[in-house]
Amino acid sequence: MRPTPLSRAIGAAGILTVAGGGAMGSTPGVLAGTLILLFLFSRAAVFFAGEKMVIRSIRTERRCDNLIVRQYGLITVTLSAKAEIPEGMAVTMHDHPGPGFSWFGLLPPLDLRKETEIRYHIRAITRGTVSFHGMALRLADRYFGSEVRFGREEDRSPIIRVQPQGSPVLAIGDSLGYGDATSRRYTSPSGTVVRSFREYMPGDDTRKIDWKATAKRDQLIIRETFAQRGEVPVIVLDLSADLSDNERLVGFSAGTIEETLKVSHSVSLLVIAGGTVLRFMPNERQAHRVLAAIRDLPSVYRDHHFYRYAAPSDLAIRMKAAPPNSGLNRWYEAVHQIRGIPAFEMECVRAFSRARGRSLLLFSACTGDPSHLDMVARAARRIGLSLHLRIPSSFPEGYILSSLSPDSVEVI
Amino acid sequence: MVGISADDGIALLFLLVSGGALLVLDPVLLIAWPIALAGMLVSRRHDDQGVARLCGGIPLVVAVGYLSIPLMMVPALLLIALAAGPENLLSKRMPMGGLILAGGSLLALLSIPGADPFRAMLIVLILAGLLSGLLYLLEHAVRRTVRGDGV
Repeated sequence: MRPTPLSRAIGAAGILTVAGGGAMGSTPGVLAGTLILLFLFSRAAVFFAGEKMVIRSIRTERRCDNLIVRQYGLITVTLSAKAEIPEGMAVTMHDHPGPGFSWFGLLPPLDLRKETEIRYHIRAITRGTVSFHGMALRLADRYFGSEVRFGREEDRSPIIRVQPQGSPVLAIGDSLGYGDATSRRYTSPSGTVVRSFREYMPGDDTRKIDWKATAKRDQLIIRETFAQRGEVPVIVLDLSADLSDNERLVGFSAGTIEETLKVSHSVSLLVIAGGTVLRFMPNERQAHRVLAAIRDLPSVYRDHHFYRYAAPSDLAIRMKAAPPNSGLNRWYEAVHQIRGIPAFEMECVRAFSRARGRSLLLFSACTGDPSHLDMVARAARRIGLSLHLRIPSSFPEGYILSSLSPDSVEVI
Repeated sequence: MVGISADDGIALLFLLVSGGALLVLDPVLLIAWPIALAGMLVSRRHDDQGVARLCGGIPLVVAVGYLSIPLMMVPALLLIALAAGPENLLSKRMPMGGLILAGGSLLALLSIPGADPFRAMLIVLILAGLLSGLLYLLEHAVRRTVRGDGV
């Protein structure tokens, strides 16, 4: 509950009158101030009763015209809500589609006193399964205002499937036989670990013939080999200055590392804070070592800042926008040619090429200067990793994803 | 250029009348004036005439209190109705606000005139602090209900 300027002024006047009257021994002064304070508290009680009435009676529903769309496809969302509204209270509903969507300008609020539903358009910008973030109910009368956030499962529905779906990162494999349920390996000619031997059948690769076993049994025997199913992820943990965000990011990435190592040979971890590399552990097989590396991270500081670092595409846009004979054009070109790849991006490229992963899980709060995330994304593309972004729910909506263009986004 | 609206005019009139009365009755209580002036400035900044009316009227209510304590309730309630709008003073559907206002005023009227003003001030301020704390806790209780499955 937040007081409005009017109720703040009333409270201040009441307290000052009581204090002034008491200090100067004036009974009417104390009484007048008490009456004013009583009035303010009575209004607070009325506001509470109204707020409870609205919350108890409200029914919301969000409908989308399309639940399966192509990436960058337009979705028409209808938000409807009904509630009992007390006299003198303004009630508005604000929808929060979340970071998986983009929209133009501000979303229209639903004024429950005037209308029961609103319609607006959003664009699905990330692939995969995307759900809404929730909605917020804003209540206000002349004296107080409050905001109640609705983030339960039913407030986040419906789930939108955006095609093409992103590549699976940690899809648990089907059980293929004894002991395979948790190993997530499957028989593949490209594997290196021997799974079993069997008789040669026409069509098998002759390079797979095990000559030693063949000699023993007097018939052609070939090797069947294991290969990894799904993708081995490279986990990039971007620490921010906000401690609560950091705790959540570290906790969630630790959980992901443990889950990954249950089903995968190894995992690679890169810990960064802005453009500063703090830790790098390539292809680590022991969970406890990776977790120990995360647990005692040094206090976060950002050595390098890339305030609005101009990406090559940014420079190209600037050059196009400038007049053809402008001196600026030559300057932009010189910047583009001379500066080369930034040191941090180069470090990322080196790290990713050492790690044996095929997808990149980026845990980041996306606060402050996000240029280093662009560099991580560019380095990942250079190596050919798919990019999966994991962001905390306090993420500033929809401003960075267009430049990163990740394959999937999940809110943690 | 500072313009004077009709509401400002009424508030200034209040100030003059109450100021004159206080000057005769108890000059020390002219402390109510800065509150009134500050209220007028705040109202100009936030474009809210309710504050101007309320703060401008406080000295008048105090002045009437010097004449008769029970009579003081009349301008006080009038002032609140003028500042907040009469429709907001008592709400039929939610009688809690009216109960707090009526019960509290009666209690104040019965207990404060007989007590030492300084002690009365301390008790009122402590009670106001406790009530604010209670409101804070209530606010969080409401949020818990919303987040859980209780609703």
